Amino acid sequence: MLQLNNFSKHYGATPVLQIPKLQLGHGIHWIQGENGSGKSTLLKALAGLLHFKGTVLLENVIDLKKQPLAYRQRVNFAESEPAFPSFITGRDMIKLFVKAKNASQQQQAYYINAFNMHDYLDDPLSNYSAGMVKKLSLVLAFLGNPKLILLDEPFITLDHNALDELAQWIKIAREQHGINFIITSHQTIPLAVPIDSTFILAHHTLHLN
Amino acid sequence: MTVAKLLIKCYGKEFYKINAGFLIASFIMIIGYGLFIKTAGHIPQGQSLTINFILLIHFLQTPIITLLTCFLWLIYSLKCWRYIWKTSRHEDQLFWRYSATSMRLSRQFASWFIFQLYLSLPLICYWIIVLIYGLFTQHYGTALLSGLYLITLALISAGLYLYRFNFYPFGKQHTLWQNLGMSSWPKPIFSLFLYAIFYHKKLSYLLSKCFSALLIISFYKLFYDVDQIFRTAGIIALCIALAHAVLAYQDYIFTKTHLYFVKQFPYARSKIYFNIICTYVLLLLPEWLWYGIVFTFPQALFLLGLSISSILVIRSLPDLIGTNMRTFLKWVFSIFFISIILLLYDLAGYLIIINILLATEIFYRSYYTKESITIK
Repeated sequence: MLQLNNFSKHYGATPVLQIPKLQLGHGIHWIQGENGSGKSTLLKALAGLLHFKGTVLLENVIDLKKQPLAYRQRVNFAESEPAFPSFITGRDMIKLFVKAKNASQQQQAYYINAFNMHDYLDDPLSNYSAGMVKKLSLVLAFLGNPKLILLDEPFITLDHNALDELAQWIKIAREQHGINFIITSHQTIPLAVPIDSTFILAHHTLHLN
Repeated sequence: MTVAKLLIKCYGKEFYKINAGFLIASFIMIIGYGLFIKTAGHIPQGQSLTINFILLIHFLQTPIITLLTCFLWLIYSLKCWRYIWKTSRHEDQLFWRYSATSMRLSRQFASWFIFQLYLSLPLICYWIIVLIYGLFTQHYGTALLSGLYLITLALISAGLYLYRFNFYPFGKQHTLWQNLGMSSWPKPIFSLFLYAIFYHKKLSYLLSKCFSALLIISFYKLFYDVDQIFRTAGIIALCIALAHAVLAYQDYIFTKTHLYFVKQFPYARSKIYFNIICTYVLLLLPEWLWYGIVFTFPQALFLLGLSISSILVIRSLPDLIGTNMRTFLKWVFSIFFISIILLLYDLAGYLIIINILLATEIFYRSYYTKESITIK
């Protein structure tokens, strides 16, 4: 499903990630690692937000660097701590993503209802708590028709109901729509999420656990 | 004293860091006004020292300039108030509410007063020069009154900060724009920085537009009867681009820190670039109207092209040189002077083409792979 070749990322002269070769099959992959091990950097690079050396191929065909639009049509990302503009409303963000990712109105309504976001969706993000922003970023990541969703620490700051709901979303997306996931988390992932493989990110590289 | 030191450490240094660009740009604008616009660019030989004191003389001898300076000091204080007001909302500043606020109000007030004097150091430095000059030229009254004015501003500021931290509820408040229902207005990508201006960068916008207005007025007052009127208008169009340099810089930073998510969208670079151009066409709408009223449509379009292409080059600079404001301004002024020379040789058309090619090339190369062309 996803192939990394000679992948490396440096901040200045400091190496953060060095992955000579990695092949991820279809399914849900859990990447564990300590704080600062490079999990978020890896996902941001895979989402196309950070420049890196090497190649990333989706489904053996779509090269992130050579076909950036095709890749971005198929890969969604929810970051750990989003920093969206504070004046924009949740609904504005959803509209931007619905248009960009070509999502349907039904899909949008489903996720908003599931997270019960109606009460604050028209408020500017400056009024949102960390958990509310987290829910919004997760909804944005599920919009459209992705083949791969990258979730960076998706289970932090969520309330109990939202945790269960998210676990169901992941399960349904995988089982019914064949969507693949790469999830980073240093916490335990809810049992409802059927994990296919677990990796440890340490010493700048990924090891299959 | 300890609290004052902590306040300076927590807020003061960050304030100067954030406003370095504003202070440098204001300084350059004031010196530019004193040395070039006021003297119409003609400085007689041997009188440079006199010209250096021209602002001080005007401050002490011309009531309008005195009032204008006092107004600018008030604006500066407003900027300080806004900064503290805004920063005090952050969760990581909540500790002040259950630590320093347990002190006596008089001690807190004294600490905030010292803190405000620290923030007002650029104004105090200017005032000391004025005072020395006033003593020599026997303009004691204005010099002392302006000192009292500065102290009054610092006292009012200390009172406001005291109120904010002791009596004002912690949390996020609705802004004027929210109350006007602006949050429900449509927000296409090209409009996001314009919203950011109205929410967070009003002062930068106001200063840029004031400078633009000053340039347009100087066009009528000083240059309207010159032979090469269109060439002069070209220079004004370039100066208008220069007046928007700080906004262009802020746009770059805003895009990198808050609009990074747009990079996730499957949008072609041409589409993103078109959005950036739309932002500046809207930002320069008042100037565009002026071009349209004074000149023919092709000329107005040409001048708009000159302003926008120059701003696009300015906006692309941080991709090349990084985000250090001082380096950025050095480059901006270097490009400005090169552009002026090209204009004086009637190469404005070429300048627009060069600007567009340069800005587009930098954008295209840096959009996905910024690090590959970053010079540090």
